[in-house]
Amino acid sequence: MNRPVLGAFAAAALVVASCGNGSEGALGQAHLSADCPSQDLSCVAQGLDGPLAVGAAARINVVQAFPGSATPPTRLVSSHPDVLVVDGDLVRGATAGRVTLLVMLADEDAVIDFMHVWVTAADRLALSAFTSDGRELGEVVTGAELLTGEDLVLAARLYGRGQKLLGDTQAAFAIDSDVVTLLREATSGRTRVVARKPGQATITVTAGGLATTLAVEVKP
Amino acid sequence: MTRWCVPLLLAASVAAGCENRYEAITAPPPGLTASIDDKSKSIRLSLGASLAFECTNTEGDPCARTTSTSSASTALIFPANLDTLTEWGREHGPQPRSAFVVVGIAEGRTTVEAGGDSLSVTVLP
Repeated sequence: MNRPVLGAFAAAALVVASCGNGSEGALGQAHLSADCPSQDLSCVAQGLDGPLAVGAAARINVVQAFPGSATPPTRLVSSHPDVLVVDGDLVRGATAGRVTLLVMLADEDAVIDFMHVWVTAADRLALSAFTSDGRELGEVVTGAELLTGEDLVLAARLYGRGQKLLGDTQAAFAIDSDVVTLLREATSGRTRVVARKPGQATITVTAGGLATTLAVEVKP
Repeated sequence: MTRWCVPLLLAASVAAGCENRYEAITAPPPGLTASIDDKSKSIRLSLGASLAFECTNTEGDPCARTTSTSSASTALIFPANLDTLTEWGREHGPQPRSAFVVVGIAEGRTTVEAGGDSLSVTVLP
């Protein structure tokens, strides 16, 4: 194995080993994370690392490990359904507040683990760029330049008081020209911007009552 | 007067000795309150916060997993499943631990029962 590959493998292993698989529950028996693409190690490792945005939804992945036992059937329960709505493994921020998210046995009122969750209203909308395999590159801070045929994967991100908020927003993407085409990704809620011909376009994104724009220039 | 005091004190100490012992096993979330006082048998919780605590009897064995609440609109209580055993038990050896999770639902005061004894619960704003 050559050194760069070995180094990348070691770094990935370190991330997983040091951060664990998501956020550990209060009882240490379950790890919770937003459901991530399996190849997105940073997403899997970061867990629930912020408040959930009002109006945003997150699919919660719960990993449990009991010595000598496979994972039993469980369910998620919100202590305050008026603040955090639970629908299967999907949680949605309804109003600002704080709740306990309980992991309970499916057919019994017994707690396996729990986690405190905050729901916060967003005050800023930004766009994050991703690689085609789902790795987050960071917030888009300037306009984008693409060559014809190239693409760019974007997702709307909500912030509250400067802190990145969790959850997928029901963001609406719109463009003012046919220089680029927008393709909604089926599994991630992200949007792929495909450059079709040289020219300029402005992408307008709205979510949670907030809006932002991105200027895109397609070069020949 | 003195003649009655001694039996009363003895009865009180015996009764006190038969009480369960409650110990917190989780810390409060940042900026919030979640604590239990075994001496006063009282719990203080912030609204939306939860506390897990373990219950043992005077012999160090786990309490019964019985729970109830006087006001479910103020605080809820559930038994918790832990995957570890008690460290010691005078007569029965290591046993599955008996633990409970109490959840602050709305500001106010109520009582919950966990493992046979009552605990007062104050839910803070």
